[in-house]
Amino acid sequence: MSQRRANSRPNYVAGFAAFAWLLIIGVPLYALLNIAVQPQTKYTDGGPISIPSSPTFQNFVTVVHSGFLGYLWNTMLVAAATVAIVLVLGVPVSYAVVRGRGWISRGIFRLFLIGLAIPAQAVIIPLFLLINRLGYYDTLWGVILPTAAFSMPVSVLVISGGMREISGSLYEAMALDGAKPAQVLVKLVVPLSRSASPCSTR
Amino acid sequence: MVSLANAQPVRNARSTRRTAPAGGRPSAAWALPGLLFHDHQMVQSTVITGILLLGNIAVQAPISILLGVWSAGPQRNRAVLSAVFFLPLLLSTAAIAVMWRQLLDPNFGLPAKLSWLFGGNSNVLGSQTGSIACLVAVTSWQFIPFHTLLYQGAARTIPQTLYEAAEIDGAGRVRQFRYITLPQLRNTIITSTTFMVVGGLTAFDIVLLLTNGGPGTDAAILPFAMYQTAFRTYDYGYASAIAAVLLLLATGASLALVKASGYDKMTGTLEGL
Repeated sequence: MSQRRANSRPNYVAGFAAFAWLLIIGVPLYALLNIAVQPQTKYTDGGPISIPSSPTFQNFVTVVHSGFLGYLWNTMLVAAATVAIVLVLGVPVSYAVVRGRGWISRGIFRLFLIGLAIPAQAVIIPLFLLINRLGYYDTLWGVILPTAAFSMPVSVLVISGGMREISGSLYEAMALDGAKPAQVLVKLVVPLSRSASPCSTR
Repeated sequence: MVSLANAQPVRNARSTRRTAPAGGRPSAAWALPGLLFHDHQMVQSTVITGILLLGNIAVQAPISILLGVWSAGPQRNRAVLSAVFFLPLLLSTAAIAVMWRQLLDPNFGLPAKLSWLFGGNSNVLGSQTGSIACLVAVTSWQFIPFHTLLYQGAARTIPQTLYEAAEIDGAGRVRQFRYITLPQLRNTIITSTTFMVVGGLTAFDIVLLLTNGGPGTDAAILPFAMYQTAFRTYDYGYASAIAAVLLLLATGASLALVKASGYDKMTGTLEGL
């Protein structure tokens, strides 16, 4: 699969389009960096895509001195915990949704579709009361749990989308060898749906 | 909450204290979703939400399918470039909004410096068409990488044998894309369109930060109107009613998509191969 069309003639149209897209992605990012290395007075003179005349790292120094490392550590903790929760829960749920044939698994899939449609800011007040009641107010758990909950629907949809492409004959082969559902999940489904899981770690 | 029996006197008492917001919005005591459609601002917001949604799908879907399939190729330069293409995924919506505000600034931004590109009109966020176009552009810039990632993963699982067979039959690049890649990506197209629809119906942060619903209330989409109602005018009842309508719309749309496409039968595209 890795040799896909590698030996055919190069696709110039696609290459040109990709270069155009590189500009669209690159120019705003360049402007972002450009603003970051200039004092405010200089920035307004040159505009967003000019070449900085006297680059300075003063802005970054200010950022680091205003407690940036603490924020960074918190962000990393939240991200790691969220991804862990989402993967530990999302992979089995997707497995059940894809392999289950009953009304329960179909109902659960619908439930996650509804969860996808709930705007976070619409439930922010009940959520706040809930977190408060749980005693997680002003703790990192108060951020991690809602974030994980709100990214579950997306993850289930993405991971189950990857899992359903696993061919049925593989399941049959494992069933013939006497594997239990948990073994099938660990030995077959998780390795084969690895390509889908990076998407869910957004 | 007031019961229906004493709703009338309470409403009268409150309406003397309150200043009625623009657009003739009904009072909170009558915050029934049905009344939403008698509210001018809400009708306009619904229309704009729909326009934004269609615009987003029309821009994002084709670009992300093409980019995803392109970046799934084994070539080394494609791998490097697609790593760059995924960079917007690393930025938060707030950072993206601030960045684009700087870029689109009428005095210091791109429109002022490259006026030939913008037709001499430097205030691109100053008109309704302009601000809606900018919202579509910025949302697409932000979310195309995510959808590209979905399509890239899906395109990599298409068996090589299908392309080899097509090549033997003499199918060129375009026909291979049309008759093999697109049908094989069918499930991913449904997933990604569901995300676009639902995302379009729930996203308000970019509107708040980029245009603040402006100019005036010309680009105030429904989720933004809900946010405004809840956290600016503190009218939680009415905001909750808007939220309920949004939830119904988004759930209805995603269920309809899933149902119409047979996606929930959970069959892969490789079945019968």
